[in-house]
Amino acid sequence: MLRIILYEKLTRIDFGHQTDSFYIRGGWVNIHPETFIRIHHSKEKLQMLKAENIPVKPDKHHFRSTVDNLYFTLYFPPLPDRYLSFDLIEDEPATTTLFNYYNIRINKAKAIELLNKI
Amino acid sequence: MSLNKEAYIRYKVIDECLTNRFVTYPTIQDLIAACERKLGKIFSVSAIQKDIKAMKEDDALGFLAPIKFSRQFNGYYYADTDYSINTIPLNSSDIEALDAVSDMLEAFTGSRISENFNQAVEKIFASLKEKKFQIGKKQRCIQTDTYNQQKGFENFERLLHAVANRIPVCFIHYSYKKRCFNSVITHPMLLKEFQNRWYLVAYSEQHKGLRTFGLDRIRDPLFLDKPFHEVDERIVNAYFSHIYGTYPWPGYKHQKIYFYASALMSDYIKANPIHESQKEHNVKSDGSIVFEVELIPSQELVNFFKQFSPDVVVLKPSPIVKAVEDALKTAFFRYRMNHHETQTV
Repeated sequence: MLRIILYEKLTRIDFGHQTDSFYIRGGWVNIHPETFIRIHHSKEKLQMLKAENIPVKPDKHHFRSTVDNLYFTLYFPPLPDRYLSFDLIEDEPATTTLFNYYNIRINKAKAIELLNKI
Repeated sequence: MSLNKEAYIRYKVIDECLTNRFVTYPTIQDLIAACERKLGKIFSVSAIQKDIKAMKEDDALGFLAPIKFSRQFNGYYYADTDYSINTIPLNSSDIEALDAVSDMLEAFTGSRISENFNQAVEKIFASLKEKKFQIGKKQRCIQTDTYNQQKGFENFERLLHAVANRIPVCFIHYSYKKRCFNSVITHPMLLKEFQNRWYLVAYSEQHKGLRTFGLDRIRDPLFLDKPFHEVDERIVNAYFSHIYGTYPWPGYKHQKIYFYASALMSDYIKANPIHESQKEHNVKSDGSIVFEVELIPSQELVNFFKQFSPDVVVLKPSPIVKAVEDALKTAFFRYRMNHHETQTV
């Protein structure tokens, strides 16, 4: 996970995936259509709205080598202001092959405002 | 401001909204708000709808933009996701207009526009002149290297805006060497071209100093609303005054570098000096020359010595000699290996 951008109408999360020699030719990736954000203290779920540059399951992106990479972006509804920590869940139970991230904390005091938010 | 010019600005604003990857499917209200912000006046729904219609259908305007309305998302979009009015080629009246201002721009290139841009501006003028000829005859007269093929070049205008307006930028950087992505916050100082590739020179918050980033490795630059970290222009200029290329070896200072060039290559190198510090150190009777340059070692300098080997041989300092030797040994080894594997190609 590289960057979280909080727009008025969207939450955007950028990812970079680097293949290694674990899989032949780097293997493949996709994203589960039911990927969601789980707000910690309310357990509210924010369903993924859009995936950019990564196929949605059952489609797959096949890497070409063990040094290939993929930069992709997932969009979710806006995070409620008061929530500062959440999980990003592709599927559960968690496995090492899923894009699951737990206990993501947003420190708004350290966040930087964007120019030209539209 | 003439009506036509204002209308053109509205078309540009609508185009920016429709190509904005962060907020897709703008509503008519979004488009009106964007136009109002840009032009500082009120627009009606019908005015913007007329603009959309003109962009779609007006032959004289020439956009023929594939604008559609999505009932599902209650907003507008381009049916062709690669479309933008910025990709529309120049017509003859555009070229005439550009030609009219080109003299004025040329007058600025000596003083106002950075020296690094002179070459690029000259190429634009050369292309413009060629296009004028193309109206009458189809054969190409001038060919320039095309930079827009470089991956990441689509961010050029955005980064140029950041440099010109001193706006900090956050982007995702991919390191070919380390094979990893990073989110970096930079304060762009300069766009530099070297051998048909563009680079951003910026103060990096992560590195706490000036760094060079190839445009091909930069993804999704976003403007940040925070104070700009100024770097003294003398430091920026010094960063490049003793370098061939863009990536100095970390920790190395500028130093005297000696290299031999065969008679054939000597003529070429004399005609195209690799740096202003270049001197002829020792001219031999066969026409070969030992040259001296004072530079910070860089990857591009090593590449130069590799590229023209064996007609160019670096003599000292030893770290550069070793870097070139190692690269050539590896190349030799791979050629040998590939020779045995040609059956599998």
